[in-house]
Amino acid sequence: MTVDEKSPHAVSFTKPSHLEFRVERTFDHPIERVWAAYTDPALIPQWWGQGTRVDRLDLRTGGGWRFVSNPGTDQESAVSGDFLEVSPPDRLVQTFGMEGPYGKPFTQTIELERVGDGTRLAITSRFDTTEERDGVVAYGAEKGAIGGWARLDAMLKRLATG
Amino acid sequence: MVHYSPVDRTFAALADPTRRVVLERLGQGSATISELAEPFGMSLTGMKKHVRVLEEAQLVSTVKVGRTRVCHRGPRRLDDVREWVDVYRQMVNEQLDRFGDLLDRTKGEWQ
Repeated sequence: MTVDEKSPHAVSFTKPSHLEFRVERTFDHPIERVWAAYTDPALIPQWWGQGTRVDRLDLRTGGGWRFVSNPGTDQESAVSGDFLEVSPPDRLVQTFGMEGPYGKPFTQTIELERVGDGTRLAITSRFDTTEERDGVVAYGAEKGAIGGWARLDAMLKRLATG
Repeated sequence: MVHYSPVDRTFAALADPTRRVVLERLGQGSATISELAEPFGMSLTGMKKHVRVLEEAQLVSTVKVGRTRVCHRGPRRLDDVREWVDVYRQMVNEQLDRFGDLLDRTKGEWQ
């Protein structure tokens, strides 16, 4: 595996097939640590964004999870799913459903791989149709843009009052 | 106060599954509001609202022909897919950056 020297931590976004998209990134930390942080319900709110609260995280094959974003606001939304396979420290398969207007869940496979002293994290999302895949990208982008504006608003408010 | 750029309007328009189906349908040829509403079992008023959002995003154009309004694909094409992917990638990038920062910050605290 080659690592771009200019930006070793750049996220790569690819479409491995007409039903999938994949996001990959390398971290300078051992695989056990990346797995532990990625699946720790106490840490998830610190990196997921949008003020996310972990409602449920039952980390075992057959278990499930639920995250609530922007809780208590008019932009509150929830994502949830089931764990289909939990194999620490290198493989996690889960369903991922956006509760609300875009209801149909897709399958996410999270793979961790040792690369030197670091870890390569790959998240592959698989859909039933290409339209669903592209729709989720559009929907996710819109949510992300809204989250971005909300963060900007909050920052501007802090500056105005501070 | 949020100012909508054309690409924001495109996201907003495409965030709704009904509007994505309408757009796909119009890709096969023009249709009236009632032809678009029928497969959804939707009221004409409901479909008009969806068409207006698509029209504001320039994804659909409409022409009044007699008493009916005919809809067809607008000037803005789905080349924007590349733009969505960029925004989505930026979002995932920020999320995984925060995850990476967290790992860096807590180094040595736990394994």
